[in-house]
Amino acid sequence: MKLSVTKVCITYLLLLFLVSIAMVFIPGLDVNAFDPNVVITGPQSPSLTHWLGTDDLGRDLLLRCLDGAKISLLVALVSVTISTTIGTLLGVLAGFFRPLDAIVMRFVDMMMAIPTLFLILILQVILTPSIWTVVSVIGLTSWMGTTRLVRAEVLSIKERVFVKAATARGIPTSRLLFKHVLPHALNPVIVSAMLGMGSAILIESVLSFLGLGVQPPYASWGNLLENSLKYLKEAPWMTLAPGAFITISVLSIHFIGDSLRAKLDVKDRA
Amino acid sequence: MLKVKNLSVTFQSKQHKVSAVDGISFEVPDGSVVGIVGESGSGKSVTGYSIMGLLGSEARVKGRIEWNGQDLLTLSETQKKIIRGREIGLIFQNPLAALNPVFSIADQMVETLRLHHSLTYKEALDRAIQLLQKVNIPDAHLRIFDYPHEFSLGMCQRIMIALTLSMNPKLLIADEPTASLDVTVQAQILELLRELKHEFQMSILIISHDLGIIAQSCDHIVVMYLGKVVETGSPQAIFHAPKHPYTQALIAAIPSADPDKKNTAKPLTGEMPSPVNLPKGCRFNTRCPHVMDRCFQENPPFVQVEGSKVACFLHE
Repeated sequence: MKLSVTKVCITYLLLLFLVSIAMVFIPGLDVNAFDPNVVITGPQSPSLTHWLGTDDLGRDLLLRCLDGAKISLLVALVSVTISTTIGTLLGVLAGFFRPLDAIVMRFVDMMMAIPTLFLILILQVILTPSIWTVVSVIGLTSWMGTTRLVRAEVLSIKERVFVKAATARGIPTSRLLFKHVLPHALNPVIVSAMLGMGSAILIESVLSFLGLGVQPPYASWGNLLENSLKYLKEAPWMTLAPGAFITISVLSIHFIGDSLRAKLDVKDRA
Repeated sequence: MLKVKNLSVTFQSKQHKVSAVDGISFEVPDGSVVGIVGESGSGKSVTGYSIMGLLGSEARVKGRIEWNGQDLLTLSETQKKIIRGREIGLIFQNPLAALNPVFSIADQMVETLRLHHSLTYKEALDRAIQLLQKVNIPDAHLRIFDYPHEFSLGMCQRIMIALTLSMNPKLLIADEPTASLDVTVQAQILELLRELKHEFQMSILIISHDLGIIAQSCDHIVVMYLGKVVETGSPQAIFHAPKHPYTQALIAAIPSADPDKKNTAKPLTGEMPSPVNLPKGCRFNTRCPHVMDRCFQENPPFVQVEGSKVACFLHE
């Protein structure tokens, strides 16, 4: 079997997710268990017992990173679901109903003019930071790209003959929209949702890094990074381990998104 | 019955005002087949679309389109939805494009049937299979689960007809129903339409550029040129005694199938003027062999000449 980059990426992400979920069910495994000796001697470098070393409290970094994968991937998944749903709905409305178009698209322009990261930061400062506020804030501030994509697709699809034919058969507007128009607009949405997951992981890391995201004792790649900062010189592995997980995961997601685009692009095949 | 009175359609773009249809009138009596014939850009498809209310918001439609006494142009969108399909059905030039490519034939037919009649899924599926058998789709009970791209164009047009008939419309508008099909399939589709017309007791409005199709199937013919009706009459009158120079030119352009005769077909010279910049007076004045000074000043009114009505000063 040909070994393709995409397959490796999919396998990697699936394994990561499954392992991090499975860890919850392993009896006696406590990712937060710390070693009092280490607290005095400082972080331990990678060894056979701790493959990626330990942090300042003697907690195994590999376990922490795998545990953090659960949170990071969950945040990405849920926030992308929120943003894709909002983006698709608004895009369909803007594309199909002419009078709504200007209103929705100017709102999109306005949202895009606000630097998203600062908006997220302000919201996180006002709200009490928790996983759920992180998820909703990322979801509610990253739907605009999807809206533009869906609107553009719907604009062209609604002029196609089969939509006119369905109208001529008296099919109700809501059904026309969601059954006859929307399925044809979904390909680019799937691709952009995939790429959106990558940026959601990054945003989550940034927020947690600034202490405004996922709060300890929950581990996420972002707050592992934040914690490592104090030991950057004496224990660089504490930064490298979660950093590598973030980089490899985002890269994998992008590779998958890219090959999805190649697969789903009908124009490319015709 | 359908009565179109003084129908005008203009499209307003930023720079231009395009007059696609200009004050046309015709009737489709119950149970009859009426054909609209004209070359590309004559406004025949726009006429069909405006009857269905399918033109976009940039189109300005004026006049009256009466369906059994009711003006379709004044109906609300909800009332139009009831008329569409249930009373007036439309089939398209390219049947493959008119079927949704991501749903099977069964999905699309059952959806339409259940929308217009209260049927269970099973009943609707049985009815759909019956309809497909009526339009001669072999193995209808198996093929109904196939997707549009798995059928030939001729079969797609049959399916489109079945889909439209599933609503029992009283009037079927066929916009170039055979333009994308080869000649033998064309004949089959026309024969099918003729049979179904009797069975479903409907009237048909055929829109075509093909005089042959129109001649075979229609009771009454409307000839259009640049958004205006130039001549209307029975097929006999139109084909054996065409009155308008445009109709005469169309008939003269049909090549003879007789191998012994030399090809005497005389194609019309010149090009159709742009609908953005219409000629003053009679619209045919740029290409008419019998053009007079008057044709550049006034619009010719309709006059009754024997079996047909014609808009030309030659017959005043």
